[in-house]
Formats: sequence, C-alpha cells, structure tokens
Amino acid sequence: MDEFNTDEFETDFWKDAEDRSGWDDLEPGKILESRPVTITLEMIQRYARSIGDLNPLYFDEEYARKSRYGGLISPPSIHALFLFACTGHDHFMRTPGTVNMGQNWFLQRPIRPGDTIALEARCLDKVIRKGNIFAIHDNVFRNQDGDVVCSGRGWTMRPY
Amino acid sequence: MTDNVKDTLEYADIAVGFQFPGPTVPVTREMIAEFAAASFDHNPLHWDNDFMEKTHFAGGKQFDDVIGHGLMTYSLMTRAMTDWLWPDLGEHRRLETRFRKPVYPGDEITIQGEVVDKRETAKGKWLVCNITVKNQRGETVATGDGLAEVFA
Repeated sequence: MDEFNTDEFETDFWKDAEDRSGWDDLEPGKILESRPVTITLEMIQRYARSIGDLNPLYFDEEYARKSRYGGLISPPSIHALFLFACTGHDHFMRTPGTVNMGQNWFLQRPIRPGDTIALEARCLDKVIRKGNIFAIHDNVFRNQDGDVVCSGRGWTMRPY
Repeated sequence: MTDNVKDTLEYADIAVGFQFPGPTVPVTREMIAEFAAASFDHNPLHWDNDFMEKTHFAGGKQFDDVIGHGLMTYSLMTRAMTDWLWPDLGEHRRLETRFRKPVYPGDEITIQGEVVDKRETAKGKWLVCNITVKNQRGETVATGDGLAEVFA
C-alpha cells in the first residue's frame, strides 16, 4: 500500500482533466477506485485551524485523555479531506467547476490520529433538474478495524 | 437555593425552540486557500479568478469571484453543534446541508442553531436541530438539519 504523501498530492485539477468521467459516463452504483489513507495529528490540526476550530479535543492531549474520548480526535467534518486524499486524480469530484449543492454525513465514531481510513465511494444516481446536470455521491468511511466511522451522500452540479 | 441550580444542561432542560449560537466568521481568500490545502480540494472554483470570470455555469450563471468550499461552510456548521454539545452534553451525529448561495471572500457569515424537535428512542435521547448560515446582508447562504445524541 502506498503511503499517502501530502506533499506529493496533485493540486492542479486541470491536469489530466480529460481522464475523468463526464456526466454521461458516470455509472451509478459502481464502486470507484480508492486507497486507504493514514491521518496524522498534523493533518487533523491543520484542518481544524483552517476552520478556526481550536477545540481542545483536537489540540490538548491531557484534556482529551480525561474526556469521554480518552484521547485526541478529529473535527466531525474531517471526512472532506478523505474525499480527496483517498480518491485518485481521475475521480470525477475533481473536475474543475464541480459545485457542491449539499452534503449529509452520519457519524458513528470519531477519527483519531493514526487511524487508517478507507473510503467506499461511488456515484449513486444521476439527475437532470431545471436544465442542470447533477450527480449524487455515496460515501462510506471505514477505519483500520473495518468499523464504519461515517456514511452519507453529497450532491454536486456537474459542469459537463 | 443554590442546591437546585444545575451548572450543566441536561436533555430535560432543553425545550423545542432552544437557540444555540455558532461562530461568526469573516471569510477571506486566505481562509479559502488554507481550507483547500487542508482538505486537498484544489478545485479552481476556489482560487482561480480567471476561470471564474470566464466560466458560464448552468443557465449562464456566473459567479462574482472565487467561492468558498461548500464543505468549508459545512465544517463551520458542525462547529455550532460541537461548540455546544462537547464535552459533556452529547454527540454531533448527523448534519444534512443545502448550500443555497455562494460564499465569497469578504463575506462575514454567522451560524445559528435551534432545537426544533426532541425524540427518545429505545436506546437514545435525540435533538433535531436547524442550522442556518447567513451572510452580512442577511441572506441565507446555507441551511442544515442537525441531529444530536444527548447523554446528559
């Protein structure tokens, strides 16, 4: 298994854009390729800081140890990171102009530093409404023990 | 008298209509760029002024500037839940959002939560919440249905 390297993540979403499926080629229900990613404390804390969330459950080891979690955890929105880290550069979510219309996540367990998260991702449905084209994304996140940590759907407007 | 005063909220204390404030956040280009780096979402919607000027989205729609990530707004909405529920009252279990208007650099968004329903199940105590995000013009940019599991 390849180690996820933050520095090597391809940040140019234009590159190889033609390799990604357009709306016509999305196959609802088909599980897409993804790779498990081990999250570091550094990744968690950068994410938390980016939304100005300095909750001690992410930063203060002593405080977190004494809490009902028994240790440091991630913000409950951290799954945003795995949508991109776990998927390949050819995933249709990276298509320039993809607009997020809505999102729902049900959370069962917190993600902790050092957890290895695997994402089962697919397009579940395709919709045309008021002349616009949309995809429904279906995502299940599991930890290294195989337990589901989070599941839910997203809804994006597609540029093509 | 002080014997009867509780210093922490419990399920029984929380009525439908209970309000809980979320953060007020000035959104900047730098914040959006940092969220892109932290979440690995480098879509040009969030950084490429040229792309945004040239692109006609569905129905000929154009955006005035780069836009903040929907998931950045989502993340700020979860803070309304966790800032209130953690560490003792309960757990943030679910959030379903709709992103209704773009969030631009220069906007200041304010998040507000309200308990709209209560429900006890065989094994749990639950609060159904509305989360609303408004910009500085009072426009609703996002709405959400939150679900909290209460332990206290």
